Amino acid sequence: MMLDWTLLAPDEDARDLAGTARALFRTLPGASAARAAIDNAAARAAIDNAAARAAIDNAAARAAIDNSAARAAIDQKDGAGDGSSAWSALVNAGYLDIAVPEELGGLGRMIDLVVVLEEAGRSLLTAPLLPTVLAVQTQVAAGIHRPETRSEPAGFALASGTVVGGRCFADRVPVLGGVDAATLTLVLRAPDQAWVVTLDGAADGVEILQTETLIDPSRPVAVVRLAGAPGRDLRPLASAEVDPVLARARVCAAADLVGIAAGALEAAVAHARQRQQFGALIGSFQAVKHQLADAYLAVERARSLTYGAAVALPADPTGLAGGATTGEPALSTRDSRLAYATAAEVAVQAAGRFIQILGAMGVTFEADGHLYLRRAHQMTSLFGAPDDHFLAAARMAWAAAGRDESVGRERVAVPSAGAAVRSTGEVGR
Amino acid sequence: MTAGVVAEFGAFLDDFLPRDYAENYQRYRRDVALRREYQAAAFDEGWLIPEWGRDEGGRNLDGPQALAVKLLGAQRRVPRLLNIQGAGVAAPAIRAFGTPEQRERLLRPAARGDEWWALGMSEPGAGSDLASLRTTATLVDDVFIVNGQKVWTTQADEARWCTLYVRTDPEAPRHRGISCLILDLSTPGVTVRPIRTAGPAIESFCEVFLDDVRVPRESLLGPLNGGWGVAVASLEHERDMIWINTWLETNRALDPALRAPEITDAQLVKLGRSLADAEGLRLTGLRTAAQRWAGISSPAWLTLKLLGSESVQRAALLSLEVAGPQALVDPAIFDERLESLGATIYGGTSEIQRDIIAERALGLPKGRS
Repeated sequence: MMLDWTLLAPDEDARDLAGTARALFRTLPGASAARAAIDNAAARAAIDNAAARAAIDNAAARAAIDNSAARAAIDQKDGAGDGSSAWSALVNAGYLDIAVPEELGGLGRMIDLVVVLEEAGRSLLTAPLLPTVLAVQTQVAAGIHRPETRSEPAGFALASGTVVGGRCFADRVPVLGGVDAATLTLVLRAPDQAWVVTLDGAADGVEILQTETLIDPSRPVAVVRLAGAPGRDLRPLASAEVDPVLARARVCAAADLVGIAAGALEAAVAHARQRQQFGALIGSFQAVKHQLADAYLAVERARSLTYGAAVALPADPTGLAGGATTGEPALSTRDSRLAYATAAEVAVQAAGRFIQILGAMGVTFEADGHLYLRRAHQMTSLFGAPDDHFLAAARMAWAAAGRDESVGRERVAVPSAGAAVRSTGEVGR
Repeated sequence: MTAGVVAEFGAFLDDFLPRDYAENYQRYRRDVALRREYQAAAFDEGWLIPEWGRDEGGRNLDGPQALAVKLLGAQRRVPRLLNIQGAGVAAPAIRAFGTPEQRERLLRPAARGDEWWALGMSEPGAGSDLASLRTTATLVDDVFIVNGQKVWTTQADEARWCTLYVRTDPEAPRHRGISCLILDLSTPGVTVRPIRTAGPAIESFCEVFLDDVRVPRESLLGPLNGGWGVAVASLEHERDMIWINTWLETNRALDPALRAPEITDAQLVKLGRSLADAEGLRLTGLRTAAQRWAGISSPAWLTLKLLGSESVQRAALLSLEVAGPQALVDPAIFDERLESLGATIYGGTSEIQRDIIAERALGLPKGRS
């Protein structure tokens, strides 16, 4: 398969889209709202504690709430708008429709969606764009997308679970965007089978166990139990089909993470260009500039892999016929893992470098470093550490190379469904 | 259009390369006769530097077509040129800066590999800090009298010519007093001494002593005291070839790991990272080329040398690790590891690359303290 390279440099349409998205996201709740959300969560946690202990603490916690509420109000005065108007802005801008097939009312290509998500990550957007996009794109890949899903915030999760007679069972699933979601799209895996399922958020048997979770309350994760909840739309998958179905979601997650990394790096560079010590700008010191150069290289590598994976996705998103046994899904599956893994890694790295380069300011609540770091770690906690994905991608390539002695003449050949162990041994499961 | 050109080049390769080339690549890789014949044949057919005009020995291909041809060459692992810096660095510099007489005399044999070239840049006191070079050339009656020493000069013992960077204006600030001379290495006063490398390097490595060497004025390449511009342009000219080569070398270094009968999970994680390196390198190369063709300015291409050289090293290290005791009896594995160590040094060390990225891509202030 020959890649159309011109698509790797986003064209004028995509660049316009990215520019508009960036301008819009600047007016929507971002870093300040993220801080307020974290503040709120901490304050509520403090209340819970306090209620069990002493009333004095309660007062402090309330003060914290008031404080954050005040900050949120300031944000709104700055044109931030509240959560629901931010959501309307995203829907009105048509961002949920991108990379959805035209016959389902969508338009545009995955590369367009990638540049928009990158901007959302960069601006620390708090509105539930990413979870809804992950849900929509997974529905599209599984062939169960309903256009009306795109008008309401959706939650998304990967989980162990099962479906029996159309009813879903899963315990304690952390669902990104699962608080106040109209629908939940889950990829449920049992040992020998899997399902993509969309449920009504309010359906019987959908139990929200926890609405507040740690790491990044500004992009809330709910803990949900499915106790026989009826699946509204359901697509059973063979185990080997799960990977290619997830390729689109992984590319979207990678785009968000590239944006997070780029945002952190840009902020770190801006600081290094104005902070003076020892009579010089700290950005002139090699110990600083080499850290930032390494982060830049890693951002660009992850961005290239993400754009490449976006462009390499099969033209027919529901083209699972033959699924993992045809070349394109296998390659795009591998590429999507490499994109996600490198993007997740650099998001964590760049956020860490930003914090380090800010010095003591870096570990304060008011600096943005922890906001980028929270986003990055929330993603790796939900969708896997980079090494897990490097391992899975390598296993595919290694298994394929064992069968194909022409390695080097072409790109990695096609692995057959499910096979990951070379016939000569059990090593390297 | 591009597909047709690529298919035509593929047919040329099918025709030229031995049938068992892919299977016995490790042996053919060091086949000097095959490598020499390949360069001449590819040049004669216009495939070696296909973006050049037909009268210069190219095919007048546009950027995307030429890149597609070079990528196919890397995928098929075409024989490595015997004297890479001749076709890759000296020829483009002569083409860009040479007089009509210099181009007429030197271009074709350099590109075809008939006459080899050395690059006279580093000196004992001027490595990464090239602008501090001290070899002097004094113009006396239309002849430059050259005195000094060059070092780490690849293939100076076998080359006919050398692009020699010399100080022609001792009064001018560092970069401004340097010129590039075309030195015939058989000139009296030139002494070349090979330096033994740590491993069996594919190319020899030399020091060059210059004692009252007389170079005619018409052998000046580019403007007098304009040598820095020639150096920068000639090293940046083949930026696509540089990443394509390191991409090929990374893939080659990964072969033993990919083909290993056994591999641990920890090694698979590293393999995954190396696959991301290789694919990230290829895609960054393509993406930045696409940006260039679309007229989009982006400094991302500045990462290619650093990423490529570190990718090769990580891949070679992994394959050595995966090989276990097999590395003690398979010469390809440790040699690949040793060879890879030069990648982060030659053509601008990784430390200098990071400075360049920080200053040119990120806009950080100059300084090395």
